[in-house]
Amino acid sequence: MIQTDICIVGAGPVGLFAVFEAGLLKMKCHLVDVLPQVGGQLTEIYPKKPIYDIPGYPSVLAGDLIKNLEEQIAPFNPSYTLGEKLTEVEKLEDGSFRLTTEDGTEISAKVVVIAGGLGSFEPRKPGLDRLLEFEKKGVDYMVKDPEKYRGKKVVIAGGGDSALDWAVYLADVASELALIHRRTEFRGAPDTAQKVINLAEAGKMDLFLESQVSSLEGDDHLSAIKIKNKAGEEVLRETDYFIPLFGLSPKLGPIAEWGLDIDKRAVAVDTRDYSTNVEGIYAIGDINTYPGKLKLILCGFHEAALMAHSAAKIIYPDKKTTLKYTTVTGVEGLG
Amino acid sequence: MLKITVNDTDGSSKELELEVSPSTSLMEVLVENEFDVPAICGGMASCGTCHVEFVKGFDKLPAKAENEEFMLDSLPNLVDHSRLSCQCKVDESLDGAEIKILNDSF
Repeated sequence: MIQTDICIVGAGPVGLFAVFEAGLLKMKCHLVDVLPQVGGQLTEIYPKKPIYDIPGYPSVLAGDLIKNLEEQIAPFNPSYTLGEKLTEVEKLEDGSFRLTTEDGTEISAKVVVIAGGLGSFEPRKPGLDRLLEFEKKGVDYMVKDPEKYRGKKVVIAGGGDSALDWAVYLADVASELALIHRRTEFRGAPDTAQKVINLAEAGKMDLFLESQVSSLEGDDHLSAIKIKNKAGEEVLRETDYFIPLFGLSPKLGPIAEWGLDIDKRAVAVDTRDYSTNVEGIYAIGDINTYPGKLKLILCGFHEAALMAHSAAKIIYPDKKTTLKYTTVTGVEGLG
Repeated sequence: MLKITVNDTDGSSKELELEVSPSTSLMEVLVENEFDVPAICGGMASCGTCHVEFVKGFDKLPAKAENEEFMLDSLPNLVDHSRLSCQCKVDESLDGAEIKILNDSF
């Protein structure tokens, strides 16, 4: 089991900066995020967009802000569990918490800080009858282990980077591969799109453009799909797997089950320290709500600082926390 | 004043009267009026969480820019008259429109 002072749920900008504020007060942090990389929506959705309202930066690319935050918190040696969704938070008799991810990773923490933005990023699902019935029985929303598809018939749907990347990769793995896309142009990287077209011309995959999956067929396991083109013509295609790759969308998800006061998909907090109704659990950044709340990164940074000073009273109950200025104490070695 | 009708995900409907304000987006109007529109990217046409269907008035809207086309394309619940509300300016083109909020992924 991973032992830490503070377990931060969500490794976006506010979660990362919380490591810094906690570190100044000698608290060790572990970050958990459902995404395989840190940065939250900044790296997942808009890494190349400039942000203009970070104090001290007239303009900074979202991806660069995350890189800088990683560098800023490095002296405090945070640890990470990435690519796993935290599903359970259990409060133990001694007041500490046991957290469990859906992959079974366990974390023991004295304080939990939810910095989950708008929730955990989950795959967008197409609106198809019987989709839920075939989940894990032929319908996958992400490729975790490409070897699973070796020698199998596979259909991918989507026109973005992940659909194109996996189509290229699985062309050599699957026995038969089809890529279905609603339009004629691809949204993903042009060179990968060209590779897909070349593979289709070489007969390594079937490309269905201006088409969509219209129905799923099978008994205990998916066995075929119907593909409908713009003209309304339908074809039946046998397949072992259907992988719709339509990107990710945030859902509040398991956070709603943790006994916290939830108001309009956000966690209600006390603005003195951003604590929730459960002692020892805090919520900072876009995930929280309070009168006057502004969903700004800079507000999340402020919330992280106040949270850390309050959390220090839980982690070091016998010690008075004093405000340390980094100009006086520096940062190196504090962690 | 512009008039638009908003059909919410719960089937309820609300009429809104808006002043022309091309620097404001329809997404911002929906958020201000407390519709369940997460708009997580804040209006950059890069998250798809402000997706709406124009039940009426689609043809009056200015054409979509490429980034909106591409984002819409990634949405599983795309319909013929889909738009990202963050890319629709609050101007005359919206007058008389009727929209339906389509955030089925939430």
